[in-house]
Amino acid sequence: MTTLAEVESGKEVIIKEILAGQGLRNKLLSMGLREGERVKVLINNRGPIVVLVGSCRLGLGRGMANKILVEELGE
Amino acid sequence: MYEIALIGNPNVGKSSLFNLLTGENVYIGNWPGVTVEKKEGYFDNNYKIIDLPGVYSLSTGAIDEKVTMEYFLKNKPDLVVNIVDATTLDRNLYLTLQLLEMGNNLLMALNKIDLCKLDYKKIKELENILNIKIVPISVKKKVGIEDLKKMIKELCKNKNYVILKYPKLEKYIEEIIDILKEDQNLKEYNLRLLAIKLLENDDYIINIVKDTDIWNKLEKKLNKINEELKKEYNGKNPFEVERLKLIKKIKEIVYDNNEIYVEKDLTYHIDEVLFNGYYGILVVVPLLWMLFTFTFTASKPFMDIIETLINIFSNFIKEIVTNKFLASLLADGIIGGVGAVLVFIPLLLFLYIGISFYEGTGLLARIPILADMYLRKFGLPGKAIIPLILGFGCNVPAILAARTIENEKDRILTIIINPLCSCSARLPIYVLFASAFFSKNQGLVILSLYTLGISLALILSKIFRIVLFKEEPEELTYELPNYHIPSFREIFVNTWERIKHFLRKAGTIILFGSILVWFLTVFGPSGFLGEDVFKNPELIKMSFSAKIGEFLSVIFSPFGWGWKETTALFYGLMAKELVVSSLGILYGVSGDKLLNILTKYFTPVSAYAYMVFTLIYVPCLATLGVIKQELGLKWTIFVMLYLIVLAYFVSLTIFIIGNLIFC
Ligand SMILES: Nc1nc2c(ncn2[C@@H]2O[C@H](COP(=O)(O)OP(=O)(O)O)[C@@H](O)[C@H]2O)c(=O)[nH]1
Ligand SMILES: [Mg+2]
Repeated sequence: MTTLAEVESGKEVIIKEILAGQGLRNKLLSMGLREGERVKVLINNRGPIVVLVGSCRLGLGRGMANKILVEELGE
Repeated sequence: MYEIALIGNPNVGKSSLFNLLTGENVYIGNWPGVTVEKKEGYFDNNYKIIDLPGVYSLSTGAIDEKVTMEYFLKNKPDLVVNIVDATTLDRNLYLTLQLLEMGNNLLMALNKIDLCKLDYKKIKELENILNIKIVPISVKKKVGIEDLKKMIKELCKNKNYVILKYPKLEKYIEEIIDILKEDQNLKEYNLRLLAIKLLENDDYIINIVKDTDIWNKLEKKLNKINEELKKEYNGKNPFEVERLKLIKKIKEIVYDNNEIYVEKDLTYHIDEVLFNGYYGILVVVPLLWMLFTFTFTASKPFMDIIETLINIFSNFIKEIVTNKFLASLLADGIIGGVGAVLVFIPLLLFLYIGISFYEGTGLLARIPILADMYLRKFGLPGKAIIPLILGFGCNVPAILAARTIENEKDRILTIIINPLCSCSARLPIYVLFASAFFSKNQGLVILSLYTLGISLALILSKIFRIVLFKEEPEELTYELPNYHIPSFREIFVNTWERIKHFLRKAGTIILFGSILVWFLTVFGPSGFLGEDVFKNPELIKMSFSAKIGEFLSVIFSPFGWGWKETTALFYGLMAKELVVSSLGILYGVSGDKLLNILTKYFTPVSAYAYMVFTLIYVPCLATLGVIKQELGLKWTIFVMLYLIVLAYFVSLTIFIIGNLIFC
């Protein structure tokens, strides 16, 4: 298990846990970042991270991505 | 008249649908007490549509969410139209379920069907599960809009209130409602929504009921229920669990999102460059530069035209009105004041066009994410980047641009430091003094002032963040819409409405301020001084404003500035560029002579201190007007006070150090 911030561009992951207070958690949930959800990391270089959830792109700061625990999916 | 609430996640096409339904019939104001935009419009005369701020869920974190929550707490619309993005249905359903939990007459408009294949049988199934009507539409392709209108009318007449109940939680909700019912003060509220949010431990909602007589009883009950639920749901928010469970079930039955997968399209490639982390920010710089140049360059000729027309008109009035007092009141006071308001119209027009264009293309959501890394270090949110940049042109549109910041504290901070970005009206002052005293290093001296301004802005935001706000800027998560060409019709309707709002709110303050300054100039303790006061240094000496200058000059005696220099600062309150022209009037000279005479009254060090003072001290009247429009009187006074104190101490420090080094 790693955090979303450490996943390379192009990899797909499953969200395992969101380590955030109720407020932030609720926001992420309602935006579609939910435990058990499959997301694809589109862009993760040094800057902000772009992930694909369903058909929609979300941009996350690295601080936020550090609070999301994920498991990488094999090819 | 039926009231219809339009609600949905951000980017689902809510604005587009609203505009399509209401046409030109739009009114933009503010929600009571806050500066989140309130849009209302009508269709077929009998149907009033309220465009609620786009939210992902019914919660109370950001100000937009509070507005939406307050609306549902206190209003019972005849119909709720929940607009949903068909390509991200499962995410959108979270909000839909919340709307159904509290009980609503709800119609789902399933938008963007042009982007996915629709299975009408599955839509029927979803209708059955949720017990609501669904109308598939595409706002973009104008598909299904007539069906939607028909269904809206139908459901307004024959209402179908739906209450979604979770079997395990319903009895608790009812127990809470029973207690809430006992309090007469809560009568106007939607008790069911209150009860659900209380069970979710929402602080904002708890504060609403905390002062009521039933609180003791309620608190005991809530604690007891929470104990039970904690065991049952392993400490998780029970509503959250139930919602996600239901969404999962719906997904299994009606929806498979396997086929929607955006691969490496144009948006992907642009984003790859933008979010590279190394040179992404380099792409942003020209984009910001374009927005800046567009706003200020495109509006310049129109501002000049307005200024010229106002001048012609006021000269004309002076010629036809024989009574000198009346002529001066009309021409210099009122028409001058109206002119001071009107010149902002082109500026705001082009700003809003520029911003809406960036919003439409999808860039507006991305620029802040990139800026966030840097601005966060100073306690500012990423979205502060656009106000900061625009501030170098004019603080008025800059402060209005801060509206896109949802978090209230982040927005306040962004606004109160904005006057430190040196606007273009301050440049003539720098040019005048730099050419009089630092002719060899003009450019460097002027650059140093801009640098000082932005440095102070960043340092102070860090300080205010720590002292006043105590919490970090909100973490960013943005939905990144695809890049595309924006629609211009919406841009124009919205822009005009926002300008009207500015004219009503800030415009009146600017107008009355101008008339007051006029009055203080043409009147003195001896009465009306005549309109020649604007040309005659002997006359202006007898005016109230000169008396004020004289009085205040005591404070500036350490710098060696007299009443003339102080009075010029006083006029600078009206508009900063007036400092130069009023110095001319007060000394009774102009052009090159002004340059020469300045060297008599200032030393290079005191001249530099004077420039620093004009950079920092109280922003112009128009800026104060929009700060009041955006933040209210209390913050406006705070801004004035802190800037005066800061201006005084920074320029005094520079003055003292400068004298130690150079004298
Ligand atoms: N493909 C497609 N795009 C749409 C449709 N309706 C809206 N959009 C686009 O979705 C984006 C968001 O629209 P907007 O009305 O600003 O959404 P809001 O944030 O909910 O107000 C814009 O780029 C629209 O052009 C539609 O039916 N189909
Ligand atoms: Mg919108």
